[in-house]
Amino acid sequence: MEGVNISTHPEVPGEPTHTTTALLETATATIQGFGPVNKIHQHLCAFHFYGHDMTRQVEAHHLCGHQNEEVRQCLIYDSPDADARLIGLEYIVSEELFLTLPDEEKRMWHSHEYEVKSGVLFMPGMPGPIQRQDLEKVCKTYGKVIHFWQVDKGDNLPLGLPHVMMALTRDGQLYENIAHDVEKRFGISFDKERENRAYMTGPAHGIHPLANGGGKGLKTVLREVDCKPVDSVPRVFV
Amino acid sequence: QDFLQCAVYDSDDPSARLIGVEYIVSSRVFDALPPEEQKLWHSHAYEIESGLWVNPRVPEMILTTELKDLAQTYGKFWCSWQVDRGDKLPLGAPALMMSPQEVNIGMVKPELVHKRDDKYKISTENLKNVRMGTAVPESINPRADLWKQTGKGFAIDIEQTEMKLRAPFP
Repeated sequence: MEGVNISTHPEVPGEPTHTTTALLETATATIQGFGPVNKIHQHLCAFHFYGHDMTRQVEAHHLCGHQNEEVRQCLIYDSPDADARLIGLEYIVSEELFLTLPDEEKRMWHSHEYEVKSGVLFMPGMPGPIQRQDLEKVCKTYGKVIHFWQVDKGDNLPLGLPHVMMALTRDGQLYENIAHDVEKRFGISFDKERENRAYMTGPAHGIHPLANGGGKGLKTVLREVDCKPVDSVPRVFV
Repeated sequence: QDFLQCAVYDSDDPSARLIGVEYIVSSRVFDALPPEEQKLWHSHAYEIESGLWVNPRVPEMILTTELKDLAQTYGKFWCSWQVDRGDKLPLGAPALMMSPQEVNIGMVKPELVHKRDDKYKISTENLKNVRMGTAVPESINPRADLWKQTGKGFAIDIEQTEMKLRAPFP
């Protein structure tokens, strides 16, 4: 069985950017600061699958920045190209911080040990030894991924509800054709990198049993709620 | 020209927290969406008209055409880190956000606006005057900002389920 290859994606609807818009954006880009975005210093490529469906797998390009030594936040795109779609977010925390999370929260987070040690999580274009310096840390962390755009379904817009995604946790889960396609496009070999990463160790306390959905699937459900009563907001707006 | 994707942060400092993602579409794209999808979106006209929406540090003059276009757009904003709740880490399910509107529960707390104005040295009052009448959309699709009509919003729950597998998990 093959995984869906989404490298030929349907177009996002709309006209190409007007020259006037592009010029304005060039102007504003020189005036404004992009502080938070400038903190992004790393590009990681990995695979996610839907929290309720392992058979739907997505190539995920993470652009990551450190909040501090123990917390990273990543924008997730479906490709490394300029026209890539922003499909989700990931937060990455140290094992210590993960352990402070309430139990129900832990389920939404996944471990990184397998992805790192198997080689499937990698930094495109970076030499092995440099990658490994950071990845040995990532190996011990946990991540929380939410996707907003089901590109694997062929959606040309971010329709529907967000999904909590999960990550690979053992051999046999990742579709061979998706793996080979990525290896070919980035000129790498997961198996070779696996050998180089054999020395790495995962979380000191082992992979927490509640992580990775606690072994169960997770789905998102929409619920209608009453808006809070009017009195909670001042009536007079300045 | 019809689609924007935005990473949303809680401030413009380098230390800012990534709190969500907003997608913005033109009315042409929005009007073609099914109603089930439209109910998750909000309109932008009021925010722009009232000066709640600003592009920090960009001279208002060069923004006029852009704001006219943006006033006709609709947004879908998922918040993944509820910093206003004091959360030190991104907890819980993503939350659907809505935009300020000209009805009581759609109003923004004045303190928040003052704080913003002080930081960027702007006056929301001035902006309102400058923008008056310049960024009015032809119409606003009533299927956006649905809460204004129904008095009900949407929350997301994360529920356990059987995962469809192709190999053992975890």
